[in-house]
Amino acid sequence: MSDPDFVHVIYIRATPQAIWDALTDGESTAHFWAARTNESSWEKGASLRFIASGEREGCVDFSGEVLESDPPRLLRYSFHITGPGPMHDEGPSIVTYRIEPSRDLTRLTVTHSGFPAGSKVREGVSGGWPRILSGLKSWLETGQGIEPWSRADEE
Amino acid sequence: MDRKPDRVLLTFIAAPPEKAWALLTDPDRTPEWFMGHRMEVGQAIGDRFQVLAPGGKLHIRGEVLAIDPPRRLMVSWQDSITGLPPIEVEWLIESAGEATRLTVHEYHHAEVPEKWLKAGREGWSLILAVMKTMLETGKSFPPVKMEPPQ
Repeated sequence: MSDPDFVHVIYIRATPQAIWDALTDGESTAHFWAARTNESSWEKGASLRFIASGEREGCVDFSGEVLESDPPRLLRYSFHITGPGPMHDEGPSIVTYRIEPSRDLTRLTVTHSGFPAGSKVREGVSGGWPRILSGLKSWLETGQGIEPWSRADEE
Repeated sequence: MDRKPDRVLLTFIAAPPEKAWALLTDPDRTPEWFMGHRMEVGQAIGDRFQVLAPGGKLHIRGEVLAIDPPRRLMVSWQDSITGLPPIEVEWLIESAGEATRLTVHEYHHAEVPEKWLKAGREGWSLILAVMKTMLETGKSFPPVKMEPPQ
């Protein structure tokens, strides 16, 4: 048995390239992803890391490997929470970004899959993705991210 | 409601709950975020709820089941297209950090075929995205037409 995929769809008034860049340029995610930056070439086979800032500056919160990369349309990577703890012990899951233009709009679908039954990671990312993607949309449309995070969301 | 919703969609918006409530419940502004549809909500429990398609045809009918401005609205929702039994739709507007969380819940009373589940997810995702853009930028989205699945 395994838990169902998590899927979130959002429409953004920005080009596919702008969305791709915000997700992968390393620094932009700090504005909408709970202040985390990332490091990767985002090419197939490359490793990736998401890194905390602020009080926990430099901590690697999760890491993985790029499984598929077709800029600016498709990105798939493995996602492994840094240990120790039960979320780490679940092992890696899989994240897919699908970016599709639709006239002046772009549709971004994030699918997070590969969860075991009773997954703690699924529970965590189900709260996280809507915040991250809402922040991404604000960042691209208004130039300002949003902070819909409280400490409890991270626990 | 005590039971768990059958569908949950949400977005986070940089605007106060009162503004989100006003956008949700002002019938003259609903066509901008509801793909041209006019949504009319009564002000008290038991009042009429209805959605008119562009052109004025009655598309969804129901009644207000709960209303608590600017936090919660719940309605019964009988649409004229799917032929499915009525559902309940609930909107929740809550503070979340420096932002406002807008959540849509659906409560089903029968198995909903996959094509309608998918159409609903697309429709609500677009609606929430348009409402967010309107509240944050004051601008509307370019019109997007969504056809019901065949």
